Amino acid sequence: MSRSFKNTAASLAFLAPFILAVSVFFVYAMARTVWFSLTQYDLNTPPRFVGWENYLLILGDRLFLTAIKNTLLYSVTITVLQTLLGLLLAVAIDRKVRGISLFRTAFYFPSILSSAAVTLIFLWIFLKDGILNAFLGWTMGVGPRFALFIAAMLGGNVLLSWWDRRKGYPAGWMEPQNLILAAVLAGVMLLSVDGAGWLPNEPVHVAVPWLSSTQKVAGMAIPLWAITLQNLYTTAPTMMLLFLAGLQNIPAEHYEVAEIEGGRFWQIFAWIIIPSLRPIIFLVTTTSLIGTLQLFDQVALYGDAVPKESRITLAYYIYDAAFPSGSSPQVGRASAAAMILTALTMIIIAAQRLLNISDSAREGQ
Amino acid sequence: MSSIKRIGLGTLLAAALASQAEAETKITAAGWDDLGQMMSKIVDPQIAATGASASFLQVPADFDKFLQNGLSAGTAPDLFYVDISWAYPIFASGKVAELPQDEFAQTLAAMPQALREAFYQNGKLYGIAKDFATLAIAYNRDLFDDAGVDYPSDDDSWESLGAKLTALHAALGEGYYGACLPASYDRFGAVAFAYGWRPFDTQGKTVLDERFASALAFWRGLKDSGAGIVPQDIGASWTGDCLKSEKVGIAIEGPWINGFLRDNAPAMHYGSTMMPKGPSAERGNFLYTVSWSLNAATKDLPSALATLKALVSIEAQTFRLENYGAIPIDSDLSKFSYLAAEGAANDLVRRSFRGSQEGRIYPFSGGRSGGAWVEVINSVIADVMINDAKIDDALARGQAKLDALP
Repeated sequence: MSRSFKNTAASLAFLAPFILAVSVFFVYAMARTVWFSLTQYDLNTPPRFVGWENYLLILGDRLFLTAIKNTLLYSVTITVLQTLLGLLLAVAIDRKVRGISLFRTAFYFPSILSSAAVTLIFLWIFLKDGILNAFLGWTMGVGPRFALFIAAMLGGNVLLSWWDRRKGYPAGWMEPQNLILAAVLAGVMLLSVDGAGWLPNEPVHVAVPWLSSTQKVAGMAIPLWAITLQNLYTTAPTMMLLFLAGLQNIPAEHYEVAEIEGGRFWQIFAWIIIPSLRPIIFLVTTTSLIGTLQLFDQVALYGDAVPKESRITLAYYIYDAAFPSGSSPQVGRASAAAMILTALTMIIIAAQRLLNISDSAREGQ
Repeated sequence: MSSIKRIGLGTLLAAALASQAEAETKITAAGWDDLGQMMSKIVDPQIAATGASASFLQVPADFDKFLQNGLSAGTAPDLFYVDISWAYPIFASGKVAELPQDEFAQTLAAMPQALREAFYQNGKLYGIAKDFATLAIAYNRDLFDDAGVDYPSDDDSWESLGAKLTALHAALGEGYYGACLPASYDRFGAVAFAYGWRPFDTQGKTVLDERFASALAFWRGLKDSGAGIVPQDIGASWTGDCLKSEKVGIAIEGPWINGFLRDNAPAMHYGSTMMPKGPSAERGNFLYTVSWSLNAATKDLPSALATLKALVSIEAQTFRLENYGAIPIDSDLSKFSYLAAEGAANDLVRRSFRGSQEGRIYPFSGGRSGGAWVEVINSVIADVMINDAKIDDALARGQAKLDALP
C-alpha cells in the first residue's frame, strides 16, 4: 500500500463524520426540500408533482409577501443597529481603567440569557401599561422641566463667564465653578417656577400598543420594532465582543502616531479604527444578516400576543405552512418558501460581496 | 461457541421475546393532560380481560403537530385526543379509524345532541367526546358590591349586561373595567351567535353580514365607553387573567377557570351566570370538545376498542370530573354526586353544562380551512378593536380574505 494512498485514506477517515453529516443533513435534506417544493404533500398521502404551482401560489399570497417585507426590513434594521451599537460599546470598554471588567461583564450579560426568558421579560416591558410606556410618559412629563433647567443653567453659565471676562479674568466658557453656580441658580429658579404653578402638571399618559398593533412606523409594524429592540439587547453584546477582539489587535503605535500628529478622537475612529476593523465588520454584518433572515424563536414565543401579520417572518411562514393550525400540512408550500429563503440569503450575501465589503475586508487585514 | 457467548445470546433472545410480548399487550393513549393515574386506576381493571394494559403519554404542548407527525410516520399512539378545532384534517387523513357506532350506541345516546354529532365527518364516526365545555360568565362579587351595581344574572341580555359593566366602570373609576374583550373569535364568536350570525351557511360559505356587524358594534361600544378593555392592554393573556387581577368585573370563560381561580385568586368571591341573550332572546355559545380517537394502524384493535370504552366509561368521566373539573359527557348529571355540592365552582360547571343545551351553539372550528379561517375572523375583530378601523371597512377586508380561502 503506497504512502499517498494511506494518507488519502487517513484524511478521508478523519473527514468521514463531517462528510456524512453534510451529506445527510444538508445535501439530502436540500434535495428533498427541492423535490417537495415541486409537489403537493400533506404528510399523509404520497407527494404529487405539481411543478411550479407552489411557487406561484406563495408569490400571490399576501401573507408571504408580508413575511418577505418584514424579514428584509427587520434584517437590515437590526444589522445596522447592532453593528453600530456593538462597535460603540466595544470602543467604550476598550479602556485600561479600574473596574472596566465589571462593565464588560455587565454589557455582555444579556447575550447569555435564554431567548425564552428575555422574551417573557420584554412581553412585560412592552405592555400598554408596562414600564416602557410608563418611562416614556415620565420622560415627557419631566421634559419641560428638564429643558428649562438645562436652558437656565447654560444661560447662567454664559452670563457668569461673560462677567468674569469683562472683569479681565482669563475665564473659559465651561469653567467648572461657573457651571456649578449656574446649576444651583437654575435649580432655585426651577423650584420657584414649579412652585408658582407655571409649569404643566398633568401626567403624560403614553399608550403605545407595542404588541397588539398592526400600525407601521418607517415601514415596519410596531411589534416588529419591539422585537428589534429586544434582539438589539441580546445580540449587540456578542457583536461588541467581536469588535473588542478586533480593537485589541490594532497596534498601539497607530494610536501613538495619531496622537503625536494631533488627531482627534473622531479622526482616529474614522481613519484608524474603522479601516482596521473591516474584517470584523464583514464578519458581524454577514452573520447578522444570515441570522436575522432566519428569525423564528422570538416570533413564535410572542405567539398570540402579537397579530400574525405584524410579526410573521419567512422562517415562521415556513413553520406555519408546514403545520397550519386546524388544517392539513402544506409541506410543498413550506418547502417552496424555504427555497425562496435560501435563495434570498444567497442573493444578499452575494450582494454584500458585490458591494466590495468582503474585498475591503481583505484589504484591511 | 463459548459459554459466555451462549449466555449473552440467550439473554438477548429472552429480552427480545419479553419486549415483543409486552408490545403485543400494551395500548398507549396520548393527550396533553396527565392521565397516568386514571389509566392504572380506572382503565387497566376494565380491560384486564383482554390481556392488555394501558399507558398514557402526556404531550403538553403542540399536540396537533405531534399527532400529525406521528400519524404520517406510523408512530402515533393507539388512542389520542383530537380537538374539534383541528379535527377536520386529522379525520380526512385516512389515518384515523372509523368507530363502530353500535359498540358505542349507549354512550352516544346518553350525550347531549350537539356533542353526539361533533365528531362525525362525512357520516362516519371518528371519535367519542372525552368531555366538553361551553362558555359562561364568571364575575367578581366584591367588585359589583363595591360599585353598588346588580350582579349579572341568567336573564341578562348583552345590552343589559353591557349597562351593568358600564355602571361598574363609572362607579369604580379608571383602572377598573367591566370586562376584558379579547379581539378574537374564541370569545367574540359567542356574542355574534347571540346576535343571530352563523359561521357557515348551508353551502359552507361564511358571510360577515349585518348581524356580525351589530355584534361587533356592541363589542366595540363597550371598549369605547371604557367599560371594556383588550386583555393585552392590562398585561393579561386571557380573560381569566383579567378576572384574577380583581380590577375587571367579569370573565367569559368555561369551567376551566375554576382551577385557575382556586390557585391564583383563592380569596375571590365569584359567581357565574349563563351567557347573555341576544336581540332575539337567544343565547350564543361555543362547544369546546375533544375526542378520544383511534389510530387506524393500531396493532391490537379489540384491546384498543376496549380501552376506548373504558376511557369514556362513567368511572372515567367521574375521575376526570373530580380531578380536573371536566364536564361529563353523560347528560344525566345525577350520576355524578360530586356535582350535587353547592359552591361557585360547581355552579359554573352546571351552567357550562346547560350552555350546551340552550340557544345557538356552534363547535369552535374553522371548518375546512381550519386555522386560516379563524385567523381571518380574528383579523376582522382586531382591526376594529385594536386598530380602530371602521366596522364596514374591516368587514369588507375580511370578507375578501374569506372569499379567497381555498
